[in-house]
Amino acid sequence: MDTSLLLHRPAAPKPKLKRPCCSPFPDSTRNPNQNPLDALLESFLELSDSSAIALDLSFDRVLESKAYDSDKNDVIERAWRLGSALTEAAKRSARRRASMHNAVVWALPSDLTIKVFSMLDTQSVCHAAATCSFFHKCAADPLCYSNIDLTTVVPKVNNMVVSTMIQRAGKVLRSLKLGVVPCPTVASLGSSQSLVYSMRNSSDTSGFSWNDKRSRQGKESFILTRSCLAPLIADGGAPGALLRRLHLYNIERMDNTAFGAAVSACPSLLDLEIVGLHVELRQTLESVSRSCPLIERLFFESSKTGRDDSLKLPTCNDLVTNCPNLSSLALRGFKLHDVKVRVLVKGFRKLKFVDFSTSYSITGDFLRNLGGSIGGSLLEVLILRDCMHLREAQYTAKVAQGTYPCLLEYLLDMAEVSRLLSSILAGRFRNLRHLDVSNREGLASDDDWYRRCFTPSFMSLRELLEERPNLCVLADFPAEGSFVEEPMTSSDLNSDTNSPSLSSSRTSDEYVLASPSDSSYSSDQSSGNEDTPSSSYPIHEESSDEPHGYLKPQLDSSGQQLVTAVSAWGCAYSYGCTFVLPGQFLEPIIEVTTCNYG
Amino acid sequence: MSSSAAENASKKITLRSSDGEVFEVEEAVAIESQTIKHMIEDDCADNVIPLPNVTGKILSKVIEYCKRHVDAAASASAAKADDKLASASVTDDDLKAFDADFVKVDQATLFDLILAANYLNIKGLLDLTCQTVADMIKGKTPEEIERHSTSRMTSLLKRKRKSEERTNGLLSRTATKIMKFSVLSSSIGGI
Repeated sequence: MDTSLLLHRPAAPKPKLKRPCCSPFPDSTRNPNQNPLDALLESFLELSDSSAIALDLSFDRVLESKAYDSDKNDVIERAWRLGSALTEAAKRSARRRASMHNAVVWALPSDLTIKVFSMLDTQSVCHAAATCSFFHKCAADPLCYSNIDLTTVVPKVNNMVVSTMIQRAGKVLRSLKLGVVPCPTVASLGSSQSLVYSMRNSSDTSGFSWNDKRSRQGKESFILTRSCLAPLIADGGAPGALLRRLHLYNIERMDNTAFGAAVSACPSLLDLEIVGLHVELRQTLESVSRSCPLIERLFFESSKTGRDDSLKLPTCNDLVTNCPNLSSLALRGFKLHDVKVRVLVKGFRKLKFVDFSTSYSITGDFLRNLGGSIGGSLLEVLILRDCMHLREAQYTAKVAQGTYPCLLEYLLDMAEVSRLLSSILAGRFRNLRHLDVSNREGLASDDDWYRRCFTPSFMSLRELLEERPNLCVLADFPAEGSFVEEPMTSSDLNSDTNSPSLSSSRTSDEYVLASPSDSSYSSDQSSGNEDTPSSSYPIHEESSDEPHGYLKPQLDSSGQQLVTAVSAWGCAYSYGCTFVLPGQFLEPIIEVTTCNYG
Repeated sequence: MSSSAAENASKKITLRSSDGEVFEVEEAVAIESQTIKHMIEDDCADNVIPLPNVTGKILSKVIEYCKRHVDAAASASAAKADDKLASASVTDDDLKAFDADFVKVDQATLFDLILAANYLNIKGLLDLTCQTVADMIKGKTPEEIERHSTSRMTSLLKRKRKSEERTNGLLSRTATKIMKFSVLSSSIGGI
């Protein structure tokens, strides 16, 4: 019945077509044994070049020629069905042909294709999977999902995606990064900038509404809910069992229970980074100490800066006992007390990297007498940026008394620099290679915490550099000034980015530039040391628009050795001091050599 | 296998490609390939080692790679012995530059190199070439990946897509017409 109707169809519309109907092949050359349906389809497909309107009109006419409604409905329904069938057949064939073509062009068998895919980031794997069925099959292999990186700049990933990928990875899963990272370059540099990201502040979340009730489903929306890590626990905990690295950023809905459950499924965890999660410090550390004995790196940044005061002494003790391999610890934005911190720093025997930036209530007492055999002896990096309560006089005295044979870097805030320098001169900190006295609030003077100056005297700096030629000094004060270094122009300095390009252009050992600080404070400027002979330095003269906190170079009496001066932006002059951007100290520290200028 | 080091050092291995080209290489270079190494160890490579899966053109490139890496390794260990760290890093950079240039070939050759490295089991070369292909794919949208592999295919597909769009458009338009028609008829009928 259908076929007979089909046979009748072309008879009417064909002569009415405006397009010259001559087909490229005369009828005589058609295969007489061809299936009538095939012949029909072939001749119909030759119509495909005619305009849609002509076809439309033709269909209308056919419809009109039917007398009864039921006939009309029949015709329409048939057109619909046949149209869909044709579309599907065309799609299928196209896919098959694309795959075949890809098979010709793409000469690799599936195991090598999988190997190539395993070198791709997650996003590219997904794109490749969408290309053709062969790639789709290869991209489903677990090896492609060993390192899952689903961090995005705006919320784009939901639970389904995470769950699918974790399931695909199975026990091959080694690294999982999830969440919203506002600025990817920031994260990768491991800088001291905060990664906490509040979606309320973002203007990029297009199509995202806080009032969207559907978001609770987690299916259609782009939200990661508290159960986004549940797949790690599923399947007997197989995916989580060998997971080495877990980085979570700004997953607003994550809570203590869900997070604790997820962590408990990851006994092999080596590297845990949590930024902006609403989890309590104490509970988190307890989960970690319970479940992750092998952990080597912990990085927590609080979502509520300064208000999380939950850390208790027993927790610290537990952590120290259960996780002896910890070599890198960062707790930013919490309320920490010296007693507890001391337990931590003293207790971790292998601790090399410590970062307590933006911590409240830390005074620096915890450093007293550490650094020797008691504990903290392997410490290489100590960062205490922006700790508002850091007490300076006491602090430096304590530090000076302590011995840190391995202390390679030392970032601090509010320090009385010259005192520290004298202690360095006195022979402490033999391995100190990097000193950062950056301070957003300027340096506190000796006796008065509230009197800030932005240009400390650096009298002893010269001596220091004489004695310790490998020392790298950084003083980053917020000020508007820019400094012109020979190959770099001030426009580079004032550029707003984190200047990864500047750091990469650091081929010579001479200089690294600090990026402009995020806040510009107007400071009362004193323009540096008055007692500096300045005439003989071209570089000094170039920076005539003196930045605040600019420290002029000092020439020693023999006129031979120039001591570096540090500008507000921490730019190095080519006197052989290298400055590392406060946040970039994690990159290889460049050796410093003093050079002689005639 | 029991021969002295001196003998091993100067021992030459002959390799024959699929198209009959013969290459003579030092044993140290030849055993970069685990496949060849096992063949030699199992003593089944007396005269010439046939490599039926590798053409002469590709084999010469592979040998060039192996030779370069063997030389670099030798000079690096020599530099270490002399404690010349600076020169060691220089050769490292040189090697990286060589690798980067080595893979600047057309896609077909690159794939052939992958297949050869896989067959000959040369880990360094395999990783290098696979990484190059991965970098080609990285950051592309599906259309671009497809376009990268297909050229005529895309134009064919485009035409098919257009025709199906037309059909779909037609059907949806007629569907709306039906709606209007039936509404109209029912309203007329209703009166």
